[in-house]
Amino acid sequence: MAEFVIGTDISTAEAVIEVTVNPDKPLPVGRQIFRLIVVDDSGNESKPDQIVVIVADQGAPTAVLAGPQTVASGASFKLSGERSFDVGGGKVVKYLWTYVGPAT
Amino acid sequence: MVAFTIGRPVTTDVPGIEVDGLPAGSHRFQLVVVDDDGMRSQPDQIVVLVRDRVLTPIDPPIVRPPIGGPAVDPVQPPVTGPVIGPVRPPVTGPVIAGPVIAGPVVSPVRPVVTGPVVSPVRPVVAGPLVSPLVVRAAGPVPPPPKPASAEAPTPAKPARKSKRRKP
Repeated sequence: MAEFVIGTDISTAEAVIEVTVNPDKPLPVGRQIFRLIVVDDSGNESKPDQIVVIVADQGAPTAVLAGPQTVASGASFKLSGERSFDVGGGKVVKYLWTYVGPAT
Repeated sequence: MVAFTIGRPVTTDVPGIEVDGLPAGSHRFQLVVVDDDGMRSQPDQIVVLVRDRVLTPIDPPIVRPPIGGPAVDPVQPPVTGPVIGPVRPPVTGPVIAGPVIAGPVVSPVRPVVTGPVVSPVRPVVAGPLVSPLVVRAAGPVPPPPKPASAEAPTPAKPARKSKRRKP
């Protein structure tokens, strides 16, 4: 078990780790990214791999936005909110899309 | 398609939207959903990278093993060498299980021998011609002979003494 702090590495000799959640400081609702780097017996480090965990909101619906990572210039592409859900039993009826702007 | 303006949300009642006309660079998009009670979600964001030219990635895609699952062999780089025709796996058709269809037994077709028509040769019976009709002489019809095994043994008659005339 390990309690993660944002931006702080945790090193283990085992290949599996359990994320401990402090009830007083739960993970924020929404998209949480975890990253892994492995090191072999010669000390060589891998490139980082990462996954996204969506922490569901227990009261309000949870938005999940999906889209391509890379597109060609001039090509159109689709954004999808199909994976959005509402654990409270409600139904998602409206989608608000915003172009935030160029990412820095 | 929707024309986005930075910072101004576009509302839809369907879970998809199409975007175009973005210049090269990284662009951030955000989604907020609203449920049927009017509750709004926290925003979710992604970054889309628009490239001038989409380059083919050099590294092969890496298969992520599931946690706790069986180990996955590392992806091996492609072996460079002479171009070899792709090995085509043997085509195996689906095994169709079903009843064995038993049809009528068909005798093999024998070839028809063509040639002069030959009438079957009947054996010539040598000897006097026997008429199938039996002509009997007029008179009483003698009783049919009894089978020898069925007859009772006839007692031997005493031999007659021949009467000789005295000279």
